Amino acid sequence: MTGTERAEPSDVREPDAAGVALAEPAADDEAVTPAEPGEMPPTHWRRHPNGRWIVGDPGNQPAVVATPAVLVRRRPDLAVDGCRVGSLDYRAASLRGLSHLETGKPRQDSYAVAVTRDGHWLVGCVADGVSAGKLSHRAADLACEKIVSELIDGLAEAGIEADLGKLRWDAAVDSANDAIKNEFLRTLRSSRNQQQEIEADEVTLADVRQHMSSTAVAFVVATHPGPDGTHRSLVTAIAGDSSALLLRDGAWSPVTAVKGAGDEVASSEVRPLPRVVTPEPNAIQLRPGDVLAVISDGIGDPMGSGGGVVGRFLAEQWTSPPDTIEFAHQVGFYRRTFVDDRTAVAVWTAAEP
Amino acid sequence: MSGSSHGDDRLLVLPFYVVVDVSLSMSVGADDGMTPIEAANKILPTVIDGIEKSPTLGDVVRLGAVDFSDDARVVMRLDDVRNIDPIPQFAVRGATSYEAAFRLLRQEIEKDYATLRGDNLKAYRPAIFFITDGEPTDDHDDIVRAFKDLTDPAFKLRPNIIPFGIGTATKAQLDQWVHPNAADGAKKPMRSYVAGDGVDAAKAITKVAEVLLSSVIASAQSVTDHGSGGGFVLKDEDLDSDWN
Repeated sequence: MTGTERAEPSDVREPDAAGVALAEPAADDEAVTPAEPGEMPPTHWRRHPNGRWIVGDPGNQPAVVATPAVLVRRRPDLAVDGCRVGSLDYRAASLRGLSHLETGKPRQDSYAVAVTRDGHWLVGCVADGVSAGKLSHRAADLACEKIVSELIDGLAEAGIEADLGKLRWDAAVDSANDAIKNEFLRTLRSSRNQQQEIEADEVTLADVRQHMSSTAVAFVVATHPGPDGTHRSLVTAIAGDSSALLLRDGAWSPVTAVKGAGDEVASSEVRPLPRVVTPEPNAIQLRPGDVLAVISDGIGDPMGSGGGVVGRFLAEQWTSPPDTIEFAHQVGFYRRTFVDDRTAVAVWTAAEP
Repeated sequence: MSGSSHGDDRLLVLPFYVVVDVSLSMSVGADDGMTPIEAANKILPTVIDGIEKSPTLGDVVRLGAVDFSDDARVVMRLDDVRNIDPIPQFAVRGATSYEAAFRLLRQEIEKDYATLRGDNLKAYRPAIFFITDGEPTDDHDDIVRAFKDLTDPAFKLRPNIIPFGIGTATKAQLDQWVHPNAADGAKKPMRSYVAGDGVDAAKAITKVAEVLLSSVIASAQSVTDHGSGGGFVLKDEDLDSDWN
């Protein structure tokens, strides 16, 4: 959940006008429809000759021809990271989606991962710039940067004994809000006549959101297990529909709310930053062998609550930390109708010795 | 199409219906130009061609076509545009029953969505592009009843309806068949388009294809950006307030 809203005019769209999710929750009978010779059952995955994974039906996705993002400089289509910290391994990848590749728009997803100077905490954030805003990719970058930076500061002094309940999420949100608004004002001023002064208080956060806004989900994981063998962790969906799932004993379970789960009429309004919001952290104890996946909706939507073919594919691929470049391949699978940017940061705890 | 039955495995579908008045008056056109029905017959090829230009648009869009005169008929079952071959034609016959059109649409939407559900697809609410030259020949109260059935708030699949009027159709007449309707206080109302006096009907109809295709693209984008929070987006930036 995105936490309690502090008072602010709402710009929520009419839930009723949202899409209707009509498929009944059907029995999960794992039925595999007999395939035509040479055709793959929709419950399986394989490699496309070009190296990409196909999960179920690829539709016509392999035919997409990438076009450069227009008027956006220094925005790689792909970002990847992978490291070992203490008894954690993490992998991170952010990919420009097929829709943006086709239409010449930049990758609007972003992530940041950092370790406290004392090495006791791994901190990260995944953000999804909201497409309506032309500068939303910058909002996503700033949200990640500022939130991670505030969390790192909050954990800097306390070391391994840090009280996670004292982390200042409001300060992290304020810092992201300020940075996004300032970037917007800077862009506005540079695009207007110098004579015309724009005061910061003339521009509301709702004004800023028209041009640049982003979701954000952040996490904190202890790099070493505590006396009970688990890693103290927090996952906080700060704004919008980016989410997190936990892979334990081969099965996924949602850590944050799953978009549209159980709703007949989907009402998952995206309520992005900048916005005054008080996030509600979810505390989890990561056990040895657990995998925490923090994701944008580009991967959250095809994954759902993790019980389908995408969840099984990723569970199998992520039984142990993959090669970092291969991790990007696993995030960038083809699957018909899912064409958004994809971002995942996955954290593995070392299996019990 | 087959699929595993798990709810997490649902692919997405955006259904669009093109509904065309095939009353005899649709075959009467300008002296030198196309008749309205000839123009209407260019809509499906234009839209299908546009969808096929993008590799991924055809993955998510489904297109169906219905005509109406004394009765209403399914011209093209809702389908993946890549399965449509040959593209069917609209042909004129008889009078103009809106009631028949609205009743058939409710029935077909229910039938089509049952099929989509069976294929484990997650479908967004449908959009109907309703093209008419006005002057329905059936009883007004009967039309109103059929329209209320189609747009009943309890009907989960109630469509977005965008009427396009040519010939004698007036704004006042067509606005009552818009759904959701600004007059009812809808937050995301749809609208009607009416070609004014002196506007060539056939030329006006060719604009429908543009609005439809732009809307298809914008709706697919909305689904990409907002997942299940997205859905139908009416996109008409190339069109004046009406066709005047």
